[in-house]
Amino acid sequence: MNNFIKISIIALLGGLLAVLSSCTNGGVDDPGSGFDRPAMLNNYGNNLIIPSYESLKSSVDDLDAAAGTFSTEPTPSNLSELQNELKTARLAWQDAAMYQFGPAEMNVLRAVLNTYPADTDKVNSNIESGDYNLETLENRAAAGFPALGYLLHGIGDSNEEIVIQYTSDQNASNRMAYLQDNVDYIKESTDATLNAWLPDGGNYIETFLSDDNAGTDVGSSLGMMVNALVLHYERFMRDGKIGIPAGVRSAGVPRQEATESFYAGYSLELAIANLQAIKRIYLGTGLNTGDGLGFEENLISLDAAGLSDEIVTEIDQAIAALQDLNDPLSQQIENNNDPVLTAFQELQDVVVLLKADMASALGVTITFQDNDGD
Amino acid sequence: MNPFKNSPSLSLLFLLAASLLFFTTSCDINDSGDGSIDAPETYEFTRNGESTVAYPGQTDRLNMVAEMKAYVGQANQGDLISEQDLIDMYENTGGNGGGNFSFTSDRQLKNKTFAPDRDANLFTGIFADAQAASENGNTGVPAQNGVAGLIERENKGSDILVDAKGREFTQLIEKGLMGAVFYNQIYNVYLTDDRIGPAVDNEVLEDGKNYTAKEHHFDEAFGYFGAPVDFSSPWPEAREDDALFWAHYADVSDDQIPFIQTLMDSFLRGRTAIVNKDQSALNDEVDNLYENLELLAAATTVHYINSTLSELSSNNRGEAFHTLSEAWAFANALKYSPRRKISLDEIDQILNTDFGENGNFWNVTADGLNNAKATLVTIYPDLEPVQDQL
Repeated sequence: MNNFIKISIIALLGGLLAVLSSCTNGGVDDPGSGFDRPAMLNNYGNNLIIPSYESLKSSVDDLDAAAGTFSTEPTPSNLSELQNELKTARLAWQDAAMYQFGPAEMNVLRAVLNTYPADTDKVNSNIESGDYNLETLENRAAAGFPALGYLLHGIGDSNEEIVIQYTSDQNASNRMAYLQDNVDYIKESTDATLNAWLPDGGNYIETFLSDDNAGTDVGSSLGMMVNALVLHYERFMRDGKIGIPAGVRSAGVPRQEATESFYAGYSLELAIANLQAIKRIYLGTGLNTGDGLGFEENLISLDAAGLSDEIVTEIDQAIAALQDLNDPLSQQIENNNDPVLTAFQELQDVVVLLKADMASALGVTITFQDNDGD
Repeated sequence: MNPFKNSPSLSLLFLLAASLLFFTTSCDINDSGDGSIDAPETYEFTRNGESTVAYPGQTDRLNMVAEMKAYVGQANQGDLISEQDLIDMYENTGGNGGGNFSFTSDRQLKNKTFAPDRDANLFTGIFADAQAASENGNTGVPAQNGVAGLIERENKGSDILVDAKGREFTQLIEKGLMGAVFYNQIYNVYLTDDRIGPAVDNEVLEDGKNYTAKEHHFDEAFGYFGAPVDFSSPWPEAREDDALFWAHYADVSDDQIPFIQTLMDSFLRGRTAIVNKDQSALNDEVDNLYENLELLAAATTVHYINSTLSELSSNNRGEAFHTLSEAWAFANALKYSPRRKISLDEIDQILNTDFGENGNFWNVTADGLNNAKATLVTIYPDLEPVQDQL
C-alpha cells in the first residue's frame, strides 16, 4: 500500500513533468517571461526579412535593366551606370544575407549571389568556350556578384578599356552574353527566394509564423533564425569579409584577392553595411520601419538586460573598428594590416556573446557545426 | 523556460516511474496459456529456457563492412589503398579478408551481393577506381571535375577521397554494401516466401540448433538491420554506437518519422507470429517491413539532400560532396526492394540527372536537388510533412 502510494505520486509527478516540458518544447509562450515571441517573429518576417528581399529584388531588377542597356549600347557611361547598379545591389544583399534558411537555402542563394573570390580563370574559360551552365557547383565561383565585379571592373584599367572587351575583343560577344547570363541567374535566384516567402507565392511567411514553429527547438523559426545569424556572423562576416583576407586563416599570410569586392574596391563599405544590418536584426529594427520586438527585447524579458547592453556595445565597437579602416580593403591589408587584425578581434568579441550567451538565454541550440559523425 | 526541467530529483523520480511502468508491462508479456505468446519488448525468444535467436553470419558481415569502411578511410589521409586488399575483404579470402580483417569467418559479402550489381562488377570496379584515386591522393592531386583526388571537408578540416565525379569512396563502398548486401538480403532473400512462407518448416529444430528454419530466417533479416535487441525510441545518445548501419539511420530520422518503433514492432511481432504459427499475422508485419525499410532509405536520402543544400549554401564543396555521396547511396538503395514504389527510371533520374548531369556531382544544381526531393516526397507521401526537417 505504502509502495503503491509512492509509485502513484512518482507517476503523477512524471506525468506532470512530461506535460510541463511538452509545453516549452512546442508551445508559444515562455512561462514567466511574458514575452510575445510570435510578435517578434512577425516583426522579423514582415518588417525585416521580406522587405530585405524586396529591396534586393528591386535593385537586381535595376541591375538587369542596366545590363540590358549596356548590352545594346556598350559605352563607358552605360558601363558606369551598370557599375553603380551592381554596387547598389551588393549593398542591398548585405541586408538579406543573414536569412540563409528555408527559401534561401532551397535556392542556395548566398552561394549563387556572393561566392568569392571569383574564379577568374573559370570565368574566362567559360567565356572562351561559350559552353557553361552557371547553375552547377563547378561554376559557383564563376557567377554571382563577385564574378560580375570582375567583369565590370577587373578586365581593364579604365572604363574605356573595359568597354573594348565588350565591343572589339575577339571574345566580345561571348563576354557580353556571359555578363547577361550571370545577371539573369542572379535575378532568377533572387526572385525565386522572394516569391517563396510571399503570401501570394510559396507563402513561407505562413510557415515561419505558424504555431508549430513558434517554439525554440531545433527547426523552430527562432532556432533557424538564430542559427543562420550566428553562422553568417562567424563564417561570412567575421571570417569571409575580414579574417580570411587579413590572413587569420592562413598562418598570417594575407590574401588580399579574397576580399569581397576585390575589383571594385568597396569591400569595407559592404562589410560595414552588413554589420549594421546585423545590429538591426539584433535590435529588431525594420528595414523601412522603426524599432520593433527583437532579440534585444527578448533578452531583456529574460532578465538578461546586461547581456543585451554588452552585445550592442560590442557590435558598436566592431563597427567603429571597421570604420577606422579604408577602402580598398585589399590595399589596407597590404599596407597596414594591424588595424584590420584589430577589427577582426573586435568582431571576434561578439561571437561568444551571440553564439553562447544569447543562444542559450533564448533557449536555442546551435546546431550548424554538428556533422553526422562519419 | 520550464523551472522543473533541470531538477535532478524530479528527473530521477520520473525515470523511476518510467522504469516501473516499463517493468510492470514487461511482466505479463510471455505465455498466454494456450502456448502462444505476446510480442516481447526486446528481440529475445526462448524455447525450453534457451534462446532461439541467432544471426552470427549477419554480425560477421556487418563487421566486414565496418572494417572495409575503416580500410578505405585510410585513403582520406592520403594513404595508398589496394584494389586487391579490397577484393580480398569483399570475398573474404582465407577467412580473414586476406589478412585485413581483425577476425575470422567462413562467410563473405560478395556472394550475398545483389546479383545484377555483381554481374556488372559494381564493387570491384569501385575498388579499382579507389586504388587509382588513392595514388592521386597520395601525391597530393586535388579533386577536380573529371579528376579523382582529395578534397577538404570544410567543417571537419580533414580530407575525403572522391572519384572523378566527386563521389566519396567511403560512402560508395560502405553505404553501397548496406544496400546491395544488407537490404538485398532482407528484401530478396529472408523476407520472401521462399524463407518464411507457409511452406517453410516451422516445426522441426535444425540439426544441433534450438530454432526452426523459419525462425532462423527471420532472425537473419533482423540481423541485417543492425539493431540492438532492445532498440527502442528514444534511443539514448550514450548507446548511439550500438545501433549499426540501417538501425543507425532509423535513429537519425526518428524524431521526424518514428522508424525505431515502427520497425522494431514489426520485427518483434513478426517473430512472435512465427512462434505462434500465425502466417497471416507474419505477412502483415512483413508488409510493414518492406514498406518502412524502403521509406527509411527515402527519408535518409531527403535528409542528405537537405544537408547538401545547406552545405552548398555555405560554399562547403567538400561537405556537399560528402552529403551528396550519402544521398546518392541511399537513393541507390531504393532499387533493391522487389516491392519498391519508385521506378528504376525515377531512381536513374535522381542519381544521374538530379544529382548532377551524368551522375557528376560537379554538375549538381539547387534545382536538381529540389527536383529529386520533390520526386521522393510525391512517391512517399509520409515524407511530405517532414521534408524540410529531415
